[in-house]
Amino acid sequence: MNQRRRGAPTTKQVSKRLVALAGNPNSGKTTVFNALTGLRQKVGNYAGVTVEKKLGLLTLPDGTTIEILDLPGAYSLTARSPEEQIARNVLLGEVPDTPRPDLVVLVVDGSNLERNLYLATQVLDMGLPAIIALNMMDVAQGRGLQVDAAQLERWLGVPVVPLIASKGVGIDRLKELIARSELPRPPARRWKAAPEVEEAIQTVAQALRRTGTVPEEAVEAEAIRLIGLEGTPSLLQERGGPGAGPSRPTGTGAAPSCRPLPGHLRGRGSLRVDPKSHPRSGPSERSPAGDPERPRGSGAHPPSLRPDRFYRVDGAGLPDGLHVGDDPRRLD
Amino acid sequence: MMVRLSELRPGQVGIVQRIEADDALRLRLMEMGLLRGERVRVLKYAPLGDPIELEVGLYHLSLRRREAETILVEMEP
Repeated sequence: MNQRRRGAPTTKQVSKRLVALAGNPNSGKTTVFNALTGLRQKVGNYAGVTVEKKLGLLTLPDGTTIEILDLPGAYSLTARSPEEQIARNVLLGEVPDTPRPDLVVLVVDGSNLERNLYLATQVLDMGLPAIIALNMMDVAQGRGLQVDAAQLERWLGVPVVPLIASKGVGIDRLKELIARSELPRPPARRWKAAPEVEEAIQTVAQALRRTGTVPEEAVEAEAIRLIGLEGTPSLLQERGGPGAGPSRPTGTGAAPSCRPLPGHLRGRGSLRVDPKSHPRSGPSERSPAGDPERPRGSGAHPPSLRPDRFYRVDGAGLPDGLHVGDDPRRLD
Repeated sequence: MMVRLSELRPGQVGIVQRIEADDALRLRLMEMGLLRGERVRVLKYAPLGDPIELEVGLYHLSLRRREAETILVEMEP
């Protein structure tokens, strides 16, 4: 799989651009892949793991070809499963026979934005040039959802292409964007975690920089990811939550109540509405008295390192203008 | 009233309060959208009571009974 990028002595294309498709399972990623590559695909495995590696070729009108890599479906990059690990490794350029992609196409299920944008923002934070393929617009519409792609584009800072991949709608536009050689990188992380967390992020990021193993634009995202993994045990340490009684030794933790949003986005607009039923309070909004997150003991991670602090993709964070109407199935 | 998600009957709704799972499972459940304050509706149980199909936000989620047992919810009347 390597011969195409390296070597290729004097001939026409020195190296083909590599475009990775990333997305949740069932987001239509494979449909997009097929629509882009037709039957020109080859399937193999990543070295040493039983994770399927699907590569295809997209031929542009001018005859140049671009390689398309269909990453395994993933809900997050936290990398607990081999598939997620591979997705993350590819995006960081750490897979031996797979160069770091030049571009990521994020296939997002437009009828299920809240869940899909979690992975999307994680990937955007990795700093590769990206395009959002807002798929399943017909399903969204069928559910009575109106998705404002232009607003989403402004919010995320990368091009957003509405698609109905199963019918080929929007594919040409997507190809056009992929064909552009110069696509902007996503904006730098726009959200801030609590100050202690930011400090931790910078500390870890510095350490990562010294290793020189992580591309600079992905350093913070990788630091956040590592803290998210490493910080999880602190969930056990504290906070019973309502009715929880004394803290239990292990296996007990609160479901997160806060997903910090970029400050400028906090508390505006809504995807899912009904803030009353979504008591989410950021660190700063918590009442100081009886704070259930106050750290207990020492040695543990401060509670502010809890990974749920990084969960920021939720309805309350969507800016005004990103309309996702009521779900007809949703009662009450 | 706080109950385990696995105790809800089909059609009943609970608000997620806590997850008493190990780190890996909790993180995964959180990533799947089971966050505190989230409304979860039990849709149905498979014939032997396992797995359980849930509605979370705009999507459906199937959990093993063992996983659903780790989730404490406040029952909606």
